[in-house]
Amino acid sequence: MSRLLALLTLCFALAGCAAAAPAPADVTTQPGVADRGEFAHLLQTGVSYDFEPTDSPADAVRHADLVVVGRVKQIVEGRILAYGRSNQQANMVVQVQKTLKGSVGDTVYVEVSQPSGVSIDMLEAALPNGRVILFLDDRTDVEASGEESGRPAGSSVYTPLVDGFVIESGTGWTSGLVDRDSLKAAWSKLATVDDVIGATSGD
Amino acid sequence: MQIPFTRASAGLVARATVAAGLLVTLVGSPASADPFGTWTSDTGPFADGVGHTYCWGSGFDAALQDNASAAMTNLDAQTEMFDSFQATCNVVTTDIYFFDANLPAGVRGSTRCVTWKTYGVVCDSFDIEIDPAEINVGSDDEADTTKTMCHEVGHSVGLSHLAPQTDCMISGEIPSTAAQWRTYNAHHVSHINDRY
Repeated sequence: MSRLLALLTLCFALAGCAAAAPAPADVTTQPGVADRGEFAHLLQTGVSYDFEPTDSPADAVRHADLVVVGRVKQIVEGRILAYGRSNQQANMVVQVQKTLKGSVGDTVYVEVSQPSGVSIDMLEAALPNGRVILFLDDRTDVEASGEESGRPAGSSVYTPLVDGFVIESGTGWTSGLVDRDSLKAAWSKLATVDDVIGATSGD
Repeated sequence: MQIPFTRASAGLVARATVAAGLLVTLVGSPASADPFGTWTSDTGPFADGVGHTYCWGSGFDAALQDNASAAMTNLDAQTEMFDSFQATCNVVTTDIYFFDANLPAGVRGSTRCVTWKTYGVVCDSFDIEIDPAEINVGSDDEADTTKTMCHEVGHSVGLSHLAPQTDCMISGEIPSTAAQWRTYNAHHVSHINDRY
């Protein structure tokens, strides 16, 4: 019996050790960083959300004001939102290739939170090469200073739904504002950007 | 002392392993099973210490203060971390500023590191922004508000959305008003107590 107790203690200790493993200090070695891509990695630096996940791309279309497929051509300094401290935004200048919902010209301005410690130059250097699909919320009327920074006077500014920022990566895709693991199953089973586009038209 | 490995001891090991596995299952799966404090929007970075101070940012709605206090008190009660309210926010000593916000569609709350202690790893001071209009769209709004406070406070110490999704770290509206959705499960408590 004493041997059993000793072995139980050993096994519990081992289980506890597994639980106690600290995260490595070098964040670039974290699992998933390579899959996420540098641009999404930068956008997610120290920014987290409690959000209502959409059930599928078709559901995201229902929640969005505008849905486009395009390429991010440039990123520039945006406005500062009125709430919180130093709530600096960065504006993505997106060349629109296809509009899946709503109406827009050939360029759309999309703001994202610019994380503390992440410069416009860092984001610009990491711009995705592939296409993006953006499920967008119109944020033009949100209170901010520097109201039209980073976009032409009178133009609208949008922000992606948390689970509505798809970035083409190789033959697959990554999620811009939240890890793909946090998306609902109907999203994560889609292998390519074209699969996501196909899934916007119905459940 | 070495224990000779015999058929009998092999049986003991097997029984002990099963017992240990059962224990781990009961208290939560190993904390290494999901990300913690990694550089992703799922987890947030680590806090800068065992003490987690907080204050009300400019204009923070009095109606939300009880929910925020409840979330901080819960962190203190459930884990080895302790909370401390500061009546006056201080950029050097306050770990969390709470704010009302007009967040994008579908976003109930957000946690942003404003000042890094170690870039990308340890945050010195966070903003937690809450949008009641996005929370009060279903039922059980009061419990739902405290859930989102608990969720964002969880991000501010490094917790993720990922499995096991049996506590306030789930995304979106709570499944019921059960207390489990406004607290941390044993798995997440283990993560916190391992770190702080």
